[in-house]
Amino acid sequence: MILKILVGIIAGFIFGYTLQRTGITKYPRVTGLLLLKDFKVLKFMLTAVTISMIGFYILSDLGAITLHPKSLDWGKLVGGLVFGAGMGLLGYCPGTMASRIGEGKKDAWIGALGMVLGILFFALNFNFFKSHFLASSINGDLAANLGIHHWILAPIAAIIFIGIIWLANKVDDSRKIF
Amino acid sequence: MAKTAKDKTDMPGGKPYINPYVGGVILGIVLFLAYFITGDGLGASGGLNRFVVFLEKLIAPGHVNRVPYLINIGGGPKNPLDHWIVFLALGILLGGFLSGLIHKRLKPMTGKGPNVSVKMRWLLAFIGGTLMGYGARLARGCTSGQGLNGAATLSVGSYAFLFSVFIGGYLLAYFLRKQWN
Repeated sequence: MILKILVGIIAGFIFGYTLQRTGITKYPRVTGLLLLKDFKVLKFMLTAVTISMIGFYILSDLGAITLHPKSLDWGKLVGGLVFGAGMGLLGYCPGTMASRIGEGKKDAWIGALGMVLGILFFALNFNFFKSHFLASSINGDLAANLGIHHWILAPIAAIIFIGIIWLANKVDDSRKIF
Repeated sequence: MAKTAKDKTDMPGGKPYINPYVGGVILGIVLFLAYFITGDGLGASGGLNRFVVFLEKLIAPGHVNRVPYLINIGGGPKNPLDHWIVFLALGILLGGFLSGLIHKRLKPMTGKGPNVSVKMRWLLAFIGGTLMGYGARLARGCTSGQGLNGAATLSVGSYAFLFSVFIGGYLLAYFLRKQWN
């Protein structure tokens, strides 16, 4: 229990601190990304994903962890659309919202109240959604689905991620979109 | 870039931010280390979800004990708050607070675009939060659980979620860009 609390607090602390420190908790970041004007969030996310992908596969190969790739179902697609619209309106994702609450920003507090309502609404209607959106799912392991070893797929993914960052920097410099 | 002008108006006197690559590397390491220690992926919306189930159990324990998804979280003798992800959410609040304090960005204010009133911003934030909370539950993960952990483990479901998020966001951006700009 103590370990649970400590790991949670420490990992969360570094997470929230880093989000605030890079400035991606700021209000115009998410809307800037949706307007294709500000790619800081994308650069941050893709860097984190590339680094942790390597860590995940090394630990998994060593037998230190068991990975559970997330399966595909209608909930992911419909939930993603709803989530994306909400994220655009609020201007934060749940992580940056939490960090922003710590910073004392009122709009983040109000967003959290809204989130409570949304979560409650889902809980109250779970059975309906389960039968409509979660009835069938596809195995989530991309490497297994494609029949490619993860150490072939991971470097390809890393190259794509770095390519997107490179492209984002090009657009950042030219500022011509919209 | 538009961001320099906005940075100045956001918080006068605040210390400059670090670059996103340094932040990304730090977060990337935290992601797989947290998974190694807990055997479980990190997520930012899971903690709030458990908190809501906790409140629901206080008010309507019968409902929590009837719905399978809620039973997993807090059915019977289970305490919905007895999970590391709850403390992770608290840690994020603390991290944002302390970094804001150290770097002089701690201030109760409303972040918003220049062309929108505070009340309108609050209304949109509330509606946005509601949709986001609902969508995160429907997908069982948000931009942290799906977008970071799921993407790093090359999960089909997570990439589908991320593409949907951006489609939803871009469709919205098309209608709201005048307010944002």
